Amino acid sequence: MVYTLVFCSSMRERLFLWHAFFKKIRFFFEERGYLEVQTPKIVPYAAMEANIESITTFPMGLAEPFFLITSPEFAMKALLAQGSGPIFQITPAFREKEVGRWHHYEFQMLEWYKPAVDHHQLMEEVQDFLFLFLPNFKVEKITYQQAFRQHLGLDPFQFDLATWRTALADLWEENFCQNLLKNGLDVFLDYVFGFALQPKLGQEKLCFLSDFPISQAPFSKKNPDGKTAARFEVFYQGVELANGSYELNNSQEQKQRFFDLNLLRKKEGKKELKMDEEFLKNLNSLPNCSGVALGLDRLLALHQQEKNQAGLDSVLLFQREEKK
Amino acid sequence: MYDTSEFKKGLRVEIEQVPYTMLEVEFVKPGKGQAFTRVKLKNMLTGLTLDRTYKSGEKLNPADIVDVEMQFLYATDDIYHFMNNQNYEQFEIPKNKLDEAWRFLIDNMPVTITLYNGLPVGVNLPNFSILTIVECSPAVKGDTVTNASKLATLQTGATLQVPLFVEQGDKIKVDTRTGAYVERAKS
Repeated sequence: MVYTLVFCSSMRERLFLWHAFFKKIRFFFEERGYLEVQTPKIVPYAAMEANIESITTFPMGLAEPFFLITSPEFAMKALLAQGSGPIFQITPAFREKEVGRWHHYEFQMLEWYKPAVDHHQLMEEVQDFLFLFLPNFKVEKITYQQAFRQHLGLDPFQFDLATWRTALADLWEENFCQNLLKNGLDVFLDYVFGFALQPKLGQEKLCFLSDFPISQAPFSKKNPDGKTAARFEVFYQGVELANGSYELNNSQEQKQRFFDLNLLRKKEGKKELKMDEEFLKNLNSLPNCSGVALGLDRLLALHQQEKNQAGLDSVLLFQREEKK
Repeated sequence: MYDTSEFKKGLRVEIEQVPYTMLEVEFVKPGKGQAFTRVKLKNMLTGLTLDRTYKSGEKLNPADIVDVEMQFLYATDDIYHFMNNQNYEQFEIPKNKLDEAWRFLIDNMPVTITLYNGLPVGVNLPNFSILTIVECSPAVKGDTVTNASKLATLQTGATLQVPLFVEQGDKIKVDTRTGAYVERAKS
């Protein structure tokens, strides 16, 4: 299949829309004393993620592969460890094979870090930021566990096959679900989350969902309960807008999380990932801080139109078209 | 094999020896979580639909399905004869495999025939067909507005409801997608 990129029909209108959007964002951070930074888009390590794949590239010719960033997280943490203070970045981010109504393999990401605050304090700031673009919402804060309980009547920390099979009858394809469960609970929970829970989040109010299972929060500090970590996500009308953490800054623990993550990847038949030792070495110098990454294309699409059915196509300047 | 990332509307795949066409494709991925692709599939033999979900990276076999441009030649008894426009070979399809298509097939009509493992599973006609009425009761003069209709027999042998003013020998335009009378055709 061959694709070509074509101008969207309302290109001019969209140019101005993006321009005003960027301006407003920069003003917000300027006022709050953030430094705008740019970090490399092509890096020597693939993103350390169980379910996000980096796009491979060969900037030096066909020697060792490099990777397009899936987020500028590692480089920004390096700056923070060097004492940068509060920083933000607007950058393209790239994720292999993510294409859909609300996904694109190339998208605009806003990522920012604030020292000396935990994730709850950062959520307040995310709320202030989103209020600029989604002015009519009320806010709801719930935990991952509460969301499962409230919307599905299930407890993600108390899985038993019979109860879940009955409660999720509409979603249950026996062989498929058994297969998802074979390497632990997380992949199965993602399935339930994606199809049964996420569409319900942020429908009435902007939803801040926090305290994910540790295994789903590789870069977040552990919570005192020992089973969840200080990670949050923000949902609006069923669309995930942002993902943040009270950042893990213990090198030893980070390394252990990477091992666990690679173990899951191996079981799932995915390539194991090389660890960035430099990142691990500097992590102990990372000050206590919280950070968040926010999908700008999604935010702009929902800012443009409530209940947006067109998704990212409503804001992209160039669109992928199959070439005949 | 088609990877989930290649799934799209109109893709034809084979699952457990049955050909399906994809009607809808939805990519679902919780932020840091596993990606899934949910598809609505239409069974190309029965027309029934079903939903299936796949984990990213799963693969499906392509169905051996081709669309061939042909021309309708003639019918003898219950066998319909077509000619392949590419290689001029003749191709026969029994009437019972043509669904409703036989009702509107006229000589030399261009059609698209869908073959699965070489056997016909679908016939696509042009949207409109001009057909001659070979038999119907006499016209009722002046009645051009009411919704009343009568049964007419077409040159193909099929019957159709037509307005009262239409006469035997008239040519009429029929929408092959709905099977409904559209208007009298100028002859």
